[in-house]
Amino acid sequence: MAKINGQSEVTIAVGLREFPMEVVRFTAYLFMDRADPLIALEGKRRARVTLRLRAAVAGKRLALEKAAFLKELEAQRFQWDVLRKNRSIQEFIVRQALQQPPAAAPAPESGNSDLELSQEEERELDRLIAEVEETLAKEAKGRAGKKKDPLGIRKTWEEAHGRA
Amino acid sequence: MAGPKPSAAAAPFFVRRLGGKYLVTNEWGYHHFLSGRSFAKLRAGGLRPGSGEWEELQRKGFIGTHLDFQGLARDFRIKNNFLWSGPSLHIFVTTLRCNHACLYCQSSAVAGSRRGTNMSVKAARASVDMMFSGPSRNLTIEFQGGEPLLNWPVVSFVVRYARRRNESDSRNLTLSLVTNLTLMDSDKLDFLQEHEVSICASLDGPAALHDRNRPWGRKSSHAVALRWLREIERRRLAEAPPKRRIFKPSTLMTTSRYSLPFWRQIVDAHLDAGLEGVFLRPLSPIGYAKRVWGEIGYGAREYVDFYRRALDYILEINLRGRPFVERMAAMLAMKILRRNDPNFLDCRSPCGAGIGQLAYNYDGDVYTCDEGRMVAQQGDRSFRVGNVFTHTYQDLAASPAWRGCCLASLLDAQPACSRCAYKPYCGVCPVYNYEAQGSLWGCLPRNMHCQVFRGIFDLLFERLAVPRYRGVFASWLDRSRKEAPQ
Repeated sequence: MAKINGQSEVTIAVGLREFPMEVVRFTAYLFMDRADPLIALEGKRRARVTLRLRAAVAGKRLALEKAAFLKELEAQRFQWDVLRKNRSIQEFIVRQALQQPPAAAPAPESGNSDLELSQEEERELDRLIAEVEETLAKEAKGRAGKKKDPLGIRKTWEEAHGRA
Repeated sequence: MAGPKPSAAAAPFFVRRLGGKYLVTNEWGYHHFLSGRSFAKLRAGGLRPGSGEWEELQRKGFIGTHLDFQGLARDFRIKNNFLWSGPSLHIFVTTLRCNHACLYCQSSAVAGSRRGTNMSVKAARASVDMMFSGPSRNLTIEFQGGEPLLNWPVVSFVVRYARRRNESDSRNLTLSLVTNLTLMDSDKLDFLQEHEVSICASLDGPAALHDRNRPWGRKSSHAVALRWLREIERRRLAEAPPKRRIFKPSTLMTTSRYSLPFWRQIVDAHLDAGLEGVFLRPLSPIGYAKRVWGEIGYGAREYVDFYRRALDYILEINLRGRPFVERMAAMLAMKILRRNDPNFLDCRSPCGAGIGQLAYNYDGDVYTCDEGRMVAQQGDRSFRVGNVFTHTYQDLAASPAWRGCCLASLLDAQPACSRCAYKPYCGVCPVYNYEAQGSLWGCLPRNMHCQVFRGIFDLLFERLAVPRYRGVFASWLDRSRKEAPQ
C-alpha cells in the first residue's frame, strides 16, 4: 500500500472505494504541518498520495509517517461518515436555533435618529469640548514654555534618550 | 418537535484520543470522555438504553435515536448568542504615543514627538457616536494606545461624554483603561473611580523580567505599576460600603521569549501583588512584533510547555486554598463546562473582528479589531472598515474587511477545523493568518495560533478529566458569575 521513494518522500496508494476522495484530500491537508502532499489519480478507483516531507528524515521516520497517514485516513473516514449521516439532523437543529427569538433580545436601535441631541445636551457637549480644548491648549502652552517636569515622567523614551 | 429521521447510532460528534480515552464533543457544546469499549459501542449504537452512561450521553445529545431537538437548538442559540448582538467591545486608541519602548510593542506605538497621533476631541465624539449607533445592548469602551494617559484630556472627555450619552440610551456601558500606570496620579485616579472606569495594567512578571520586556529609561516601570495597583486596591477596600462600583485592578501579561523560563516567578509576582489572577497571553507576530519575531518570538511547543507548567502550578495553588485564576483557562472553561460565551473574541466562530469588536484609531479610521489596526500602523490598511467622519455603522458592517474576516474565521469553512474535536470551543484569527501566512484563511495545519490552542485544549481537557482539577475550574466560573457587573 505504501512505498518509500527516497530520503524524504513516501508514496501511499489509496483505494477510492474504501476511502472517498474527500477523505483522502482532507487527510493529506492535515499532513501539511510536516509535508507537501501531492495527490494523483490512477484511474477511477485509486489515488496515489505522495508526502514530500519538509525536512530530510531517515527511512524509519518515513515508515512512521506512512503509518500515521494510514491511521489518520481511517480516523477521518469515520469522522466524515458520522457527519455525513447526521447532516440533516445537524442542519435541522441549527435551523431551529436560528428561528428562535434571541435569548436576550437586543432592543432595536433607532439608528441615526438617536444621535440627535437635545439643545440642552448639545450645550452640555459644547461645554465638555470647550473644557477639553482649553486643557489641550494649556498643555501645548506648557510644552512651549518648557514646563517643569523634574521627575521626567512625561517624557517619552525618545525624548529622554533619542532614537535607538 | 418533529425532526428528520433519527440516526440508528450516534448523533453528530467529533472525537479525539486523549490520555488513553476518547473525548467526544458536539456542535451544541457538550463533551464526554469514553473508554475504548464505550466508544466502540457508541459508534455502533450498542450502548444499553437506560444505563447511566447512555442517559448522560443522551442528555448531551450524542444518542442519535433520542435527540431533544428543541433543547439542543436552545443550547446552540445560547452558545452562539453573540451572533445576534453586534460589536460590544470598542477600542479607543486615544494616542499612539508611549513613554515605554516595549520589546514586542504590538500596539506599534510611536515617538513622543509625533503629537499628530493624538485623537482629537472631534474624532473622539464621532467615535462615541458611532459606537452608540451599533445595535449591541452591551457596550465596553477600552482605552488603548500607545499609552492612553498621554492624551488624558480626550480620555476624560470620552468617559464623560459616553456616560452622558448613555443616560438616554441606557445600554450596559462599561469603561476600561489599559495603561502602564507610569503617568497615573491621584487626580486621574479620583476621576476614573468616580466614573466607574476599571483599570487594567501591564504586568509581565517580576521586576527584572517586566523591566526587561518593558524598558522605561533608567526607571523601573514595574515599581511604579505595583505602587499604583496597590493604591487602587487600597482605595477599593477603604470604601465600605461602596458608593459606586470600584473595580479590582486587573493586569495584562505578555509572554516574550524571555518570559518562558519564569513561569513560576510570573505567577508569584501576580500573587504577591494581591491580584486575583493572571492572563498568560501568547505573543503574536502582528504589527511591530512581526519585525522582531526572531529576537523575542518562540514556537507553539515552547509556549504550550510554558503554559502547562504555569497552569499546573496555579491549579496546585488553588488546591492549597488560595483562589487564583488563569484567565484564558477560565474563559475556555466557561465555554466547555457552561457552554456559554465568555466574550473571548479570539475564540469564536466567526471571530470577534467586526461582529464583536471595533477599533477606533486616533484619526477616526475604524478597523475590524485592534490587531487589524496594528497591521495598518505598518502601512497596510487591509483591515480598515471605514472612518467615523465619513461612514455610518451600516457602511462599516458592509465593508469587505468586515465580511472577509467573518467568512475566513467561520470554522465550518476551515478544512482543518470543520472536523476538529475542539471546534465547538475554538476560533481562528484572520489577522494572524494574514500576517503569519499571507492570507485571511491561512493554512491551519502549519499555523502557530492553531498549534497553541490545540495544545491548550489538550491540556485543559486532560486536567478536566481529573475531578479535583475540574472542581477548581468550576470554582473559577462560580466566582466570575458572582462578580459579574449587574
